Amino acid sequence: MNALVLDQVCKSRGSGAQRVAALRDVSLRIRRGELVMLEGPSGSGKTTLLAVAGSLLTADSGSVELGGESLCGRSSSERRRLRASCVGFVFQHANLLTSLSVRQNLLLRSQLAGVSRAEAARSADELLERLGIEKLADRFPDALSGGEEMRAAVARALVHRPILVLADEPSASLDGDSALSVADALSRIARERNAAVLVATHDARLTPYSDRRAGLLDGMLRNGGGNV
Amino acid sequence: MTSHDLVRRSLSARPSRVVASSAGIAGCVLLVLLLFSVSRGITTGVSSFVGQDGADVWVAPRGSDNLIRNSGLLPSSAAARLATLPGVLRAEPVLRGFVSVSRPRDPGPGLNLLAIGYRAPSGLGGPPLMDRGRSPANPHEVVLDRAAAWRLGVVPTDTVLLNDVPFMVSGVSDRTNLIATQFAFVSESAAPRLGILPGAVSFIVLEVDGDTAPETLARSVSELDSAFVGMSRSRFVANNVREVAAGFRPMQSLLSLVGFLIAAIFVGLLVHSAVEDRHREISILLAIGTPAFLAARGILLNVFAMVLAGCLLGSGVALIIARSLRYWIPTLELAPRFADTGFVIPSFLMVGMIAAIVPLLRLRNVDPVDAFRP
Ligand SMILES: Nc1ncnc2c1ncn2[C@@H]1O[C@H](COP(=O)(O)OP(=O)(O)OP(=O)(O)O)[C@@H](O)[C@H]1O
Ligand SMILES: [Mg+2]
Repeated sequence: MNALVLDQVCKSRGSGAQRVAALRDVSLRIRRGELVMLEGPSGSGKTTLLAVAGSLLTADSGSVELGGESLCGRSSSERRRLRASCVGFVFQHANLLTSLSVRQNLLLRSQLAGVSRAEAARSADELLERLGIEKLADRFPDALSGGEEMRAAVARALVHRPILVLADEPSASLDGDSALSVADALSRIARERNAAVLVATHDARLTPYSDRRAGLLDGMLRNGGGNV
Repeated sequence: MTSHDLVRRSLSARPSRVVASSAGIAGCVLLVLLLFSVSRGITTGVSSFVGQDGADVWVAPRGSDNLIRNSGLLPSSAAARLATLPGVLRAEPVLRGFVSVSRPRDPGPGLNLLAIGYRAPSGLGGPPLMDRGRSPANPHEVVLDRAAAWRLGVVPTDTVLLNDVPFMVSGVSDRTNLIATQFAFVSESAAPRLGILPGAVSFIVLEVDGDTAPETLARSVSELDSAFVGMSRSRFVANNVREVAAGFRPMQSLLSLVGFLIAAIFVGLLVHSAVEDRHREISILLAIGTPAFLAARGILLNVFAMVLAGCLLGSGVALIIARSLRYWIPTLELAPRFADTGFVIPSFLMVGMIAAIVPLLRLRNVDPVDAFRP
């Protein structure tokens, strides 16, 4: 089953003279349990593609389907609800909420997806343990190392059992070992939970964890779009 | 914690900002509350004197309706005539006139005080509240207002000159400061020594029995003789308060308005900077699916807490300052009242919430895609 289907998606960013065609006729399909690397140089449109896939941006043309549901013509609150329950984000530099502890970051994410408080607490604890950061649960993000923070961000992206995880350069700020352990955890847990993962990166160290690689250049997908 | 609490907490302001903001609000609340107590202080002097127990009806010569600005006189025989009215228990004269008060061998200009002559020591129209000492017991004694005594540097048993005539200070009264001037109380029989016209009085004060309504009696007095105006105590208090507060009220309203306005601008800036400061957090919250209203609610609650903390702090400081200034500087007549906070705090909270609306709209400009930025 497809977790994400992009069909002939175009998206421009900026306005007026600053307007750039960030995505041009992009078609991409990712099945559940599949991990796809999205590679491309800086400015090629990777983040834009993740934002469109995650319903943070609406496509100018073309269609986007999340878990079989089309985003076309949906109101912003419908898109928000879909995003809250179906999508997990791993932002560049983790971007946890700094006034909340690691555990609270996870609890909030689950509750936004409509998970009960008891269930949210249970799955947060389980996931923190899986990622080996259960002892850091009550720490605040400022008191974590880069690797620990990124693992907490991965936990936040998975805690509500999304069908699609979108990760933007998750290894950019990490050294070799941390980068690999984060990629390993993300791919392992996502596969176990049958979630699709799209990782935007230009880090070759992550290639072994992928099922497929897609290349983006100047907003156009060069290869690896899947069987569209 | 519910998602509501978590969202609010994730948008909480940095401690240094909380302290600075609360202190700013506290300053505005302090200003407004002090203005309120100054305003009440100004009217307290006159209202506690004319509103004193037993003085149920005040009779003035026609044309006078207050104690402050008053010129006409009544014949002193009027007291005996009014005493015969049904329901009247006591009818006593009160004389008023300005006297110059100084210390013996002090070449200074002295103070101009509003002298009240009454049937001392226990007649109507005496000092409403004694701070120290006792009422005048003979025509050679005077009771000075607390602030006046403080300014003259005299205490009970000292001698002062009233229009160059020596009097002994028998006591010091409280709540008798009109700011512009203060009260001095002497016995009715001291009036001739002060050069106050014999045979005439300024007011007649009536005490009525329990069965008679002061308003009814006041009306009968006015009808009895066209030279008389009878006023119930509440009416006379209102007239006097109007007279002393007339000059101050517009200024008080203006300054209070400025206080509220500064607080409103302050809260507006607070919300504005909360949105700017927490731009990153807001974009992350929106990206992970937080409804925008929850983010707005979180910011509003945090600002509300800061405003409330500022209000409580400002009220506490205002009450402490007002209470202690009364003792350090008796001429500053502050009458703080706890009830004022009951008006000021909700008003500030309301003004704050209204001021928060426009900057909150800026939330719409926060782009959830910014969550991808470092
Ligand atoms: N807010 C914006 N306003 C205008 N142009 C934008 C905006 N955001 C992105 N762009 C442009 O859109 C194009 C794609 O940007 P995007 O951020 O998707 O690239 P990227 O592949 O993620 O780059 P990087 O690897 O540096 O993160 C770029 O040319 C960029 O300049
Ligand atoms: Mg990018």
